[in-house]
Amino acid sequence: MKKVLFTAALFLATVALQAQEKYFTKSGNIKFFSKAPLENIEAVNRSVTCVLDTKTGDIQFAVLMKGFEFVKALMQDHFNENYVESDKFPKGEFKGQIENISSLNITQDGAYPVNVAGQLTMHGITKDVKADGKIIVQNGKVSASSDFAILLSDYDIKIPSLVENNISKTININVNCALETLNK
Amino acid sequence: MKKRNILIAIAFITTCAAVYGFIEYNRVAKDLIYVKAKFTVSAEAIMESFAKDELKANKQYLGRVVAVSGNIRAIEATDKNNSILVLGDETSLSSVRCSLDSTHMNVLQNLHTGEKVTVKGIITGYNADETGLLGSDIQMNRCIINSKK
Repeated sequence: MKKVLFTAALFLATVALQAQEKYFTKSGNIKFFSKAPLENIEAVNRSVTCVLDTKTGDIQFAVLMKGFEFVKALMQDHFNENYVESDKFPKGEFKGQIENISSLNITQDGAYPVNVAGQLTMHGITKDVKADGKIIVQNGKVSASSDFAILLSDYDIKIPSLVENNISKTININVNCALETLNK
Repeated sequence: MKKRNILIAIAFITTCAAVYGFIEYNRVAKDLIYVKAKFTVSAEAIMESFAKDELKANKQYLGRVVAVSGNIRAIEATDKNNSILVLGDETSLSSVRCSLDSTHMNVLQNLHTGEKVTVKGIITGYNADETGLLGSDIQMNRCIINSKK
């Protein structure tokens, strides 16, 4: 009887452990910011999907380009129509890996610095990207964040020559996702 | 006299252009309370359109103001400026996710899960699920509650 109970307990423990390997959100935040002489460009998307597998280190993000909100409507129109062409390329994606996933201890509170490498796809172009980020474990809650910069020219995003000097060629991106456990 | 009239006309046109430019430059997104929905559709029907043919559905709905009716499956308050109403069937993973207009957050006080509502918002796209774990979503932003029913 004891053996049966032990086996059952072990089985449940394994299931519980497995269930906590995957984390996700559908309401993550991505902000981008670019400082320019004429004016700053800033937008936020609050509906970012992120899936993190803490066992393999696989991490994925998906974002809908039309979901970026700007304060100025004209800027948002230009972003969608002229820069990222969101009718043609509605989605941005990142698929990658946390290279030092072994240093993450999900059962212990702390801020774990991580190195992420993978492919970022937007405007129909896929490029290798490396970024530093942080996984924060606090009271069993897991969140992921990162700051990195991309070059607009890498993604074939053209700046009209008229405003060339007023728009920064690099864009700073801030990712912030509070994750939940994913129960299969 | 003729010359003067021409000068006045030029000054008038320049002023108009400058005013138009200034207004356009500072234009903010319109509160959707004052915008008529281009389509009115149920959550189930629009989910089916996207699942069946994403390209076609994108052509029809992407970036448009749409009124979607459905049952509230969940209310997710992500931060003080952001809440998402999840419309859809309990039995399916897929849903319509409506990010509320931050100036209309007070509507949350009167909303409960299970209730049927019509939400007006802008369709920002379809996030097809590749993992098989999350369900596919239609996303909307700047949403307001059109009516409770």
